Amino acid sequence: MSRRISALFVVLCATACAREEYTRTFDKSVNVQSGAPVSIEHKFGSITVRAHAGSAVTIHAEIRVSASDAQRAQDFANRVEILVEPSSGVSIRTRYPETSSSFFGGRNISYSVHYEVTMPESSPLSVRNAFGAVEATGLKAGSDITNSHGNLTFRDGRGSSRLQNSFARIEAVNNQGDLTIETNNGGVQASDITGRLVVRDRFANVTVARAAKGVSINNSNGAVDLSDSGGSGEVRNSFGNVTVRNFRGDLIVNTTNATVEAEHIQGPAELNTTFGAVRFTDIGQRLSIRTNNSRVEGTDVRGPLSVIDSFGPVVASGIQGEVRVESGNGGVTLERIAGAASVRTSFGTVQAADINGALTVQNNNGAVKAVNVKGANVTTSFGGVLLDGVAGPIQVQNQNGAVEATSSSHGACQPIIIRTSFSTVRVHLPAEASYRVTANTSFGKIRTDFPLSVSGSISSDSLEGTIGGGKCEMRLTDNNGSIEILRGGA
Amino acid sequence: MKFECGDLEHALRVAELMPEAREHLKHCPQCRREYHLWNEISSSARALHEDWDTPALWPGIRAAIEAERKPERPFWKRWPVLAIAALVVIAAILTPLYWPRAHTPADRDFLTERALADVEKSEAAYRQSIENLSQLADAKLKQPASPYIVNEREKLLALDAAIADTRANVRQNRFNVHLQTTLADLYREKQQTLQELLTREQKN
Repeated sequence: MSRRISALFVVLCATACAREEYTRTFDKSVNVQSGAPVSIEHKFGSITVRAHAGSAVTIHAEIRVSASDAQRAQDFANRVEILVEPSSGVSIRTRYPETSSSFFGGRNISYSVHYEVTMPESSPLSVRNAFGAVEATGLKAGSDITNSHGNLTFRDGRGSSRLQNSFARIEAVNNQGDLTIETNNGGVQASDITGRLVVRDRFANVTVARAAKGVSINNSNGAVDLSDSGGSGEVRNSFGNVTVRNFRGDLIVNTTNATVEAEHIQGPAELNTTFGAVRFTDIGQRLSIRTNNSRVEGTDVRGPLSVIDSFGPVVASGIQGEVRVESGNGGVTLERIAGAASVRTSFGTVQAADINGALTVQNNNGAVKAVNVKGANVTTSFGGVLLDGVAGPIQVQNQNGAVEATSSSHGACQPIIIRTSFSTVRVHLPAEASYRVTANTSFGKIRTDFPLSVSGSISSDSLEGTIGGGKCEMRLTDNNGSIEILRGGA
Repeated sequence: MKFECGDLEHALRVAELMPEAREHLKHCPQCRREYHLWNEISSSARALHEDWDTPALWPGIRAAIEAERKPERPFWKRWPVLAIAALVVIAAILTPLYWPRAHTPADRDFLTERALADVEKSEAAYRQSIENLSQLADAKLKQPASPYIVNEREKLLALDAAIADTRANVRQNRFNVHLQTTLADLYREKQQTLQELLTREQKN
């Protein structure tokens, strides 16, 4: 029954309840001393502020009211007060009449007030607004603007300013000075900020471009995009991807459950995340990465690289410094490394190529393959070890995996110590090789292409002797596998 | 062409293929169940269907329903998915009923009486559908806290506080377009948050 009455009422109202709107304007101008503050306190409507070089504050307000008849609308509009009061500067406030809550009283009246204010550019501005957009342009003495449920736009400012909003967007463009932006559930776009920029946001995206003197962004549940900026950069985030491009300074990114991308960073960088990939390109100084369950991939670091990861592969190339990778349950691939490389992992294959320093690998249950390295020290188990073109000492400790090493000593002394079990040890040496050889195996055979001067006992599974002049040490130990010393190195 | 189970979804979109489909249904109990389900959803959704200003939305909803349907799973395992899908459909249908009408041209500050009546009616239904989604999500939100759940809980709390604040203001200023639009946006965001939560949990 009540539904029928409601429906009937809606139908009647739709046809019979006409609305009338009434608009009146308010204009006032006051002079203020240079540097005197201007404050605006408002609700239910927009505020547009523009600055000029003079000393006058001019206020234009448009008061709009909607009511069931023209007289009510006009009466209400006339009772809306725009209070312009001298304080230390000028205070502008909107005061709405009390509305009764009965349906035929206040509930049937609606209203809004829109401001257009011009003020001296040398005066600081303070705004408190709700349920309306705020736009401020050309202020040169710092601003403090708090809004909610309405977009906030701030352009061409100077000085130290603070912008706050909730459930709506903040856009700040071209500010000569420091800027702090705080918002909740509203996107942030900031560009061309010559001072330091601080952004705190939640549940929305943050985009920053051309912030010159440092950026600090603290966000969650929204993406962060930072580009063409400089100074000291710090980004904290969670559940939102972070992308940083063209940053002239040092950078720290901490996020969780999200991807991190860093591209063209001039200073040192620290990139930390969980459950999301890390990608990097062209980092100017040292790079440090700490992740969990993430893929790490990148190229071109003009300094050392350190990666601590778990459950994800690591792929890095073009590193002009030392590389240290600590991974668990992930493969590691390194290419074109200018310094030494150290890798610790398990359950993943380690591949290294063109390492201009010593390679140290500590692996469990994973194969190791290295090509063109200056020395190799490898410990692993349950995986083969293949070393090709090793120019320095070779030391391999394996279990249940074959080992094949090809020397590239070019006449220099290259000690070789290899131990494994349940598989073959095969060593390729250059024709001019010079070694004191000790080889032992059980349940396997020893074979060599080189003429050997025996110095002790000899059998099919044990020998001691020298190859060439016997300049370097070679110790090969196997259990249940054959040992082969073959020609073929460089 | 031999009609197979995999052709059924295509046939539901192309009327010319339906005679072949019906022949196939006579002999295939699995497809018959699928077809019966489709009919149930279609007819209940059709009852709720109205024309609005977003012509792409209805095909989108249909695609969402199709995406939710997993033929290899028996019906008794599918009901939670269908329940969520149905609520999502209802919420999605109510969204344009409520939301676009709150958006009047930018130079208009106030709703008309008729528009307000529509908005308030739709808002009540929309709020109820979101409430139903909330109840479905409630169990998920009470689960032991993962960082994701903690975040979503905080976001929903913030949204609820903002909705309560905005509704209090709307009561004083009911015809104000900005307020009504703000309230609709908040509901829409809450709906999206709940849907994401349920969809994510369903996938897990």
